[in-house]
Amino acid sequence: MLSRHADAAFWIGRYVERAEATARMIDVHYHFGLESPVIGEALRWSSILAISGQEELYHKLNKSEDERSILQFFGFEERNSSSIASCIHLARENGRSIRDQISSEMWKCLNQMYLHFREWDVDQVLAGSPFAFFEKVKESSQLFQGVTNRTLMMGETRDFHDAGRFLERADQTARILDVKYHDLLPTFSEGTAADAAPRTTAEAGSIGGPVDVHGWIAVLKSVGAFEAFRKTYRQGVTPARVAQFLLLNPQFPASVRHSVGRIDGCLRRISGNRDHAPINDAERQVGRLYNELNYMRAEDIITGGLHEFLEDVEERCNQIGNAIHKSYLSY
Amino acid sequence: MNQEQMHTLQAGLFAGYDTGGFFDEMFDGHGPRDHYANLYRTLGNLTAQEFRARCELADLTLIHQGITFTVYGDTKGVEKPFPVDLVPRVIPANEWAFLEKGLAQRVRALNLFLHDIYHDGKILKDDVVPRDLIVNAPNYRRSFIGANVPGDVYVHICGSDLIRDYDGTYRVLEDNCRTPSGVSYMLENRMILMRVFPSLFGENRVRPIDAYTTQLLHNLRQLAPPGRDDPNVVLLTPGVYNSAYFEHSFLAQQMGIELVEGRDLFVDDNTVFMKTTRGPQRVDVVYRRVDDDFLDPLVFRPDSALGVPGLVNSYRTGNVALANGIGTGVADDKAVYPYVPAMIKYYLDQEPILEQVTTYMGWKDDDLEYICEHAHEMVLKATNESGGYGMLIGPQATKAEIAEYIGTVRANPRGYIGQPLISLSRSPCFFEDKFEGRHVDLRPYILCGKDDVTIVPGGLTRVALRKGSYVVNSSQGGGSKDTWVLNENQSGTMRQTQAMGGMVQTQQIPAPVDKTSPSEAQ
Amino acid sequence: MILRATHRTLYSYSMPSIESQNEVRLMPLNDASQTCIEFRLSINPHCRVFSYDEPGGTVHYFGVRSAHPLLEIVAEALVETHLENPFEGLNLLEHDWDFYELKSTRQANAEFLAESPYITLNDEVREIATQVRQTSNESVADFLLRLARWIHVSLTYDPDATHVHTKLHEVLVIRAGVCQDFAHLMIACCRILGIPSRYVSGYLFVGGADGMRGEQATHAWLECLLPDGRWLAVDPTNDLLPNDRYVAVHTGRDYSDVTPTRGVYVGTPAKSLDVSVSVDRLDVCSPVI
Repeated sequence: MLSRHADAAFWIGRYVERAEATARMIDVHYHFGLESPVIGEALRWSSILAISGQEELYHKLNKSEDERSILQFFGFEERNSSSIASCIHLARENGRSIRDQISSEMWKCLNQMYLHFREWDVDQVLAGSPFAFFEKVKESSQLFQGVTNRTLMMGETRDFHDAGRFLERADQTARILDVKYHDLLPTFSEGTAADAAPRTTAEAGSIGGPVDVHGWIAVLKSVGAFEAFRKTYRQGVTPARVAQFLLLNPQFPASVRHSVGRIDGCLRRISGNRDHAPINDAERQVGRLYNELNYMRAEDIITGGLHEFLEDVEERCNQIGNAIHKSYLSY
Repeated sequence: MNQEQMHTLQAGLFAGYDTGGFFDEMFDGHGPRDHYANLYRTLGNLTAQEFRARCELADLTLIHQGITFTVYGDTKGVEKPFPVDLVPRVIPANEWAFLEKGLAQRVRALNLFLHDIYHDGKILKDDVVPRDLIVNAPNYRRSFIGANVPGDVYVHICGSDLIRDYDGTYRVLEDNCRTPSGVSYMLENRMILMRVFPSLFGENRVRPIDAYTTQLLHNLRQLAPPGRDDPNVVLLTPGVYNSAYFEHSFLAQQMGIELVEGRDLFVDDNTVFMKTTRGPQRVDVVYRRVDDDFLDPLVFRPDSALGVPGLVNSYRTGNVALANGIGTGVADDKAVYPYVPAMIKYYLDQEPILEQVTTYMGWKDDDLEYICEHAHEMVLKATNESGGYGMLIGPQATKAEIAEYIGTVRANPRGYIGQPLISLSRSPCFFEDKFEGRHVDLRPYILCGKDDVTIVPGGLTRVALRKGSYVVNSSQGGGSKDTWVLNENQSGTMRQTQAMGGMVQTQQIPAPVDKTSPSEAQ
Repeated sequence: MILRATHRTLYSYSMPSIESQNEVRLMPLNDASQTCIEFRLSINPHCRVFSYDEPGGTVHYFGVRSAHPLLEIVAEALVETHLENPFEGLNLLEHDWDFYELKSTRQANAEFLAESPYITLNDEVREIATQVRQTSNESVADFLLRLARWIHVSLTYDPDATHVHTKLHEVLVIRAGVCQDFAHLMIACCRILGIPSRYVSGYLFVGGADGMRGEQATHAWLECLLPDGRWLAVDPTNDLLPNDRYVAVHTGRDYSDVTPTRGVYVGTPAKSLDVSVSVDRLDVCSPVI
């Protein structure tokens, strides 16, 4: 398969997933903010900026962190290549370049998504219910993923697409957790990292106040994990459980472990390598992370410091992306 | 012509059909020509409604298959479906045999000419073709002088445009030796007609054309560098925004070869590779649909992002083959066209089989005066434009337009030629509820292999759908027709086969009439 | 004379470049007036070098695919030059212009009579050519010497006035430039009067001859076809007829045909481009002219 085709499939996967993740993140925090007057507006938006890693660009384009500017920046800003509109546009352009490699239903879906969201702007979102807008983004992404599952041949194109999608998902989940964790429990990670005593951790933390629980529920909702979490943990919402669920749960489709496992499967199918030993850097990086997550306990993470762990995951997602590029796409 | 007699002979959907005094492909002065007899009967007996239903079916097929082309200059690359008229154009066996011989002769001469002008330049020294026209032609590649190409073949795929004048004489209007396009429409038109009018193929012995891509792939593979037993052939396209992208992807798919863009290829150690997910894979033959100018930024236009740096030098050393070769544009230059008959005599020592159009050359003083005096009744063409651009059709232009055009000709006489307006034959096309005559041309596709020339029986018949128009280019309101070349004993077997019915059996019936001619059945 | 010419080009990039493909036209010609005894092309980073011949001389090409922060091209040539007296056998008196009216002359040299990428033949060129011709006697060589003088005097030598992409019609406006522009103007004036003329790139051994221009980088002059069939070299920049101090490297219709180094690569624009040329005499020193 031509590297260019693989590259386009990979990025279609990433961009569509990224559009959905951005919509989820803003949606949840938006509503979280509306229901929780305790936390001021600035805090609400600054964590979103931190998750996206786009603070610099944002402040270059905007003076203040107000609702309208944030929605514009993440929803429609052309200069922000991660805005929902940019992601959809780029996914479509990649789709166009490999129209003959993907199914015509996939192309139709990307094209319709693009044409639909071209009609929206920030005023429209604010005038109506922002919820409807985010809902539409999520639905479009899910429709595309469904169509892809149903119509794209099992093969390299699909594996590259899925690798892109799950890499983006792992990264986004880690980011959301990281920033919200920081927001909600500023002392928690520092304390545990410092004294490294396992017993002070899991159920510890001064949680229980209404704001905190509310905050962690928002984290779960933003990755679509709230209900699944409830079914898994009847005891209640604690930071450690949320972290365990989102990082290590093997069944939840947006958990980092599940996502990395899927990338591993894609890469192994692409190379046809059945050996435990990797045959290139991409396989090595993914396999190493996947196995660490498989054998990791929540306590281990908390002991070492959740923030440090998440930063490491984000960095390694980045490295995996680079390694896939180097191994298959642009050598 | 006896109009009254015509009317009595033309019935059904053809009732009232007027040949308008032009050479009509289907009708002579008395009625349908022999090779159109079956078609005339079948189509004439349909009702307008029935025919319209077939048209709708054809349109639907076109849209579903995305058979489109891009129009430049229109609002930013709009894709339009390529209009197909469902009345086929029919060429009898003897006419085709003649065309086939003439076209093969012509492309042989053109290849010998290209080899000559990039080596010793004998034809220039002997002043058969003026040297200045060649060495100063925009498409002459100076740096390719002395370079050798596989089998000395420069033009592997040639699309020559043929027209027919008042008395039906076939004349070559121009040759396309760079990256001729349209062959996918030829193949698709046949596909559509077979789908929409399957019965017609039972009644007429039409020679198949589907061997085109097989033959092309065979020829391309033969170009591979020595020792490359299972060569990797790719089709190089400028990309999705190119007007012929549909054709590129169609041909790549039909031949089962990779459709690549410039950025998919790279040159390492003078060898061409493509970037695949399994690492670099060597490329042996590039069927390129990118013009010379954009092929390699190292050698040609440095601002080209479509090309592959180093490709041309790899080609020069024979590490990769290109089809068509570099610098072939000088052979289809409108300024070189008038000299093709002389080339045929010079290289092959033969009389040209095919006629061409009388051409007045701006660089000859007498011709220039003639052009300026008779512009109102001629077609004037800029020698370095193609696709119907930069052209003046005298009889259809205003006085001011003519005066302005003559001004540009006088300022640069070397850049223009003039030709008498050839009326172009007409062929019936379906409009709303009846058939009307429209002007057509014919572009057969000539494949030049290592050892022989093959021409798939048929070609693309382009039709000027606008009433009275002579311009058949798809970019300027043209459409196309399926083109049938009949097997030799068409008329003899006809009545029998109708009785037998069914296509398979038809083809098994031996030729009963002319035992001396070789059977074309395949 | 035996001359050793070293041409060194160094591209430095702020970020390492990849996929670089290059063509160089740096090897001295072999003809009646000079013999190229030895030629060596070294590329850093090391890579395989290929070559081909075209009408104007030899072209070398090579590619560097891996990331490289700089690209160095060093061409060293050892050349023996033979032309001691370019005036020898030159007709400076008799009328000999008829040769240029012949169809055979015009056809055989058509590429050196027409416009080319850098050279436009417009009214201004015609006026210059006609005026200079009126001041000269009946011989072509006399005209050429006068034309070279006129250009030498009328154009200001100014390396900052033009760059390698400056076309002749721009030079006619600024009336200043370097050897490339001087040569282009003289070629145009010759062509418009029917004298086939071609562009020559090369090196110049200055050694002791003060005030000559063209030592630091590649020099440029032109060659005109004389009625006796000889291509006479003329250097309008120095108002001289080139002798054995000149080493011709490549010829063509204009600069575009002889570009010494040409390349494409993937990366950021070159941070710096450094070209140096040095020419030494290896046999006994000749007396100063």
